[in-house]
Amino acid sequence: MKVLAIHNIKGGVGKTAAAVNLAYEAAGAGARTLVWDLDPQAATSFYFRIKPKVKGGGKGIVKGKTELDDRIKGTDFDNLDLMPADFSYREFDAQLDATDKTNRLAKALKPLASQYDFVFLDCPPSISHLSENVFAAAHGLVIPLLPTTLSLRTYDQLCRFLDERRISPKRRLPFLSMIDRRKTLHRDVMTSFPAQHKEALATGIPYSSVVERMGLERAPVRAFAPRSAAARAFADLWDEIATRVG
Amino acid sequence: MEDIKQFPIDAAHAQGAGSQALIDLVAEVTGAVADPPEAIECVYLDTFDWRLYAADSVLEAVRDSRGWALTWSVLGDGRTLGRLRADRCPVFASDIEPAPARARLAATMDIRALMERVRVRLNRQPLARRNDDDKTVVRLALVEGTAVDPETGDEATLSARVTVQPVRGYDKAYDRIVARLTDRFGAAVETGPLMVSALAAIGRTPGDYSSKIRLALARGTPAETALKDVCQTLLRVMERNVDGVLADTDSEFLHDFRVAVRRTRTALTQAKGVFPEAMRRRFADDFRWLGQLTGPKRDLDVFRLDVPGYQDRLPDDQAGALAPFQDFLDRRAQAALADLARALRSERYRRLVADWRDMLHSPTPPVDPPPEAHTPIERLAARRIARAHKRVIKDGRRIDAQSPPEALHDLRKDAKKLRYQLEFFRSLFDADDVKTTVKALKQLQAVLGTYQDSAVQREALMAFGRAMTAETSPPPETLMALGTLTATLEDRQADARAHFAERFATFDTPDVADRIAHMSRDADAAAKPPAPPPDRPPRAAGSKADKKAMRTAAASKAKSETKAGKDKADKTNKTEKSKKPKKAGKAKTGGRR
Repeated sequence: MKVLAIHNIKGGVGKTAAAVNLAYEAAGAGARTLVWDLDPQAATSFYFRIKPKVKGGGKGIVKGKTELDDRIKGTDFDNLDLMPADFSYREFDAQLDATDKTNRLAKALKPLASQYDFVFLDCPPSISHLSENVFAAAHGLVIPLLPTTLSLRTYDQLCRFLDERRISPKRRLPFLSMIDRRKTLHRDVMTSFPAQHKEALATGIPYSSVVERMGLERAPVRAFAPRSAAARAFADLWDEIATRVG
Repeated sequence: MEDIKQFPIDAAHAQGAGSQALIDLVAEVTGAVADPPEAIECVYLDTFDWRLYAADSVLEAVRDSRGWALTWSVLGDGRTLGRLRADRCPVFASDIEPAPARARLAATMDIRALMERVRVRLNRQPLARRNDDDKTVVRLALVEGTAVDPETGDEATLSARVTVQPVRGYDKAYDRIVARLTDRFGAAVETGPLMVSALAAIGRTPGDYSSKIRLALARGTPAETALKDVCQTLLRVMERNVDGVLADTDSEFLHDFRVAVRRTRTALTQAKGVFPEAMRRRFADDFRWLGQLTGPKRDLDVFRLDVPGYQDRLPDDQAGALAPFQDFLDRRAQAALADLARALRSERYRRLVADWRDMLHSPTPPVDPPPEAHTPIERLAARRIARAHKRVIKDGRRIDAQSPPEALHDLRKDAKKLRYQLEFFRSLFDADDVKTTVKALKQLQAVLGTYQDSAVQREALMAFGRAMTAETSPPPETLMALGTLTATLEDRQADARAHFAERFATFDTPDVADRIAHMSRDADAAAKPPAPPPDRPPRAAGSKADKKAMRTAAASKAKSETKAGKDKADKTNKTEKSKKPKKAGKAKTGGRR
């Protein structure tokens, strides 16, 4: 079982779209796939038409097998299950803080190893105690970045943070998201970013109204717009990631 | 996870599963919404010996515009184990595009090829029960169809039904719908998975082939009848495999064919004094011929199966060095197959099989039957097993560090004969006695097999090296790689030799000897009149009879257990037997003729 975290310090970078579409591609290729919606905004759960869990404590996360199993829901797609968001994840961070351990999430994932080939963690934007747990659990950090100066600065911040924790650059999988080829800056970044960062993925995701329509369709892009450029881009991106972490 | 439930549609509703009235009815009962109907044509694939089925799974292949879409799922609950793609209908795992599930599938198939087992044409009307988020919480379908036998093209109708499949995490909705359908259509039936009902429709049962001998012989059966039973079973195995041998579908058809031939030869040795001698000799000769003519192809198959493993053992800078060797083997195997095919289509083979079948189905000659023809089989078997055991022990004890390789080779053959007899006759004896003996024997056979196979493969490698040089002048890397392998095999052989004494000691034990002796006592007791003389305490005879009853019960229990653990046992068996270049070794090491 490989754990992939979709993470960025900054919000609104196409993180949830990446989680939903990459997981859909993985499942479509035959891998048993789970998406764990760790973001209290529950956007991933919403896209899969699954209600976030409101009751119960977020401390359930570290409770073990039965509780995890009971919470998993089948999506409308084969091989693809979801652990819905839990509103109390807001408190989850505080609880993890109290334990001061970074391996709690990894431990919680262990019982799932026999059931899934890939687990995608859709993480809330920020660096927090939760994200430290995420970094410790993940085999790969998939990091969507806007092709803008500010967004790239947050990537450098994140890299410094990861360097301090000795998380190898090999495990970082940054890619450019919401690319608008009409903008000079975007085009420039598309050449300069990979030149400066060897770990960067070659595939980028174009800015697309189809991706925005996910909120209306409540489904992965390829499920309702199989021929769109965005659908193809997510498929290529997944191929690249699968090769890298495979 | 709950199973897929199936509700048969009775005559009152059977206006055809595609009819609008029926769709409306199911929609009304379940609150589900109809999605676009699908016409599906699929093929169920499995190996000849049903390895996927034995691993509780089914592999369904559907042709589409891009090639073949494969769905591998759990037999019981239909849970998907993997979705895979292939350009053509796959035979080996290498035909399938890489995916995580491919490795698992490959491990399940092992070295066997996939074959079409049944084709199905389905009209499927999917329905989905959705919640207020428009999320599917239960999947349903109305299904009717036709099963087609891939071998004959014969067709059979599959009865119409409603299927209900749960979605993980939405158990309540599923339970509600099952309850409503039960109210309307009656209880769900256990029709099993579609593949199984489709196979049943064309008159086949999954798991209907195994290379293992599963004979239930009854005590008191005349030896002649029992040995004919054994031989008929073996002849069936041969005949079922012959098409696969000729088509070269995978290596195991020939392997199973050969094992059946070898077992037949052992059975013919047992038939001394049971079958008329002249006839017995004739068939012994013919089956020896048959065994010999399958040898060259099998030897090459063994090498071809081993080359990838050899390649892994080579240092990195010799990667790819064995490719010319692989090509050479492939060419030789083609030629060997052509020779074999000619022989299997020859008049001599045809006559052998026809005469053998006649002989196995003909009654015992009423006048002057051979002396042992009417001996109860358990007595003959016990005697012969005891003799074979004695021989293994005698020959084995003579072997020391100075013994020539032939001594170990002969012991290997002794051990194999004992093993076959234990397998033929296991139903006649205490299951525990047989199991314990076989277990100890297997260990001994393993070490003898490694020893002999390493020796034979080493010699064959050198011979191939010479032949290749003469034919094609291969690159020096290839010859060096063969040299490296020869050295590895030499080490392996020495290692096996070093472990021989220890393994033999685990077989040459009082416990095994007791078990063998017990089989004889047991057989004698069964053959004697059961009633004890009234003036003697009934203890001895009574307890014997009781014991026998208990043993028979134990034996039949063990048999069903063996069947359950068949897959695993088969696999162990295969690995042990798959490396068996018999004939080359026999000629070179001067084996008994």
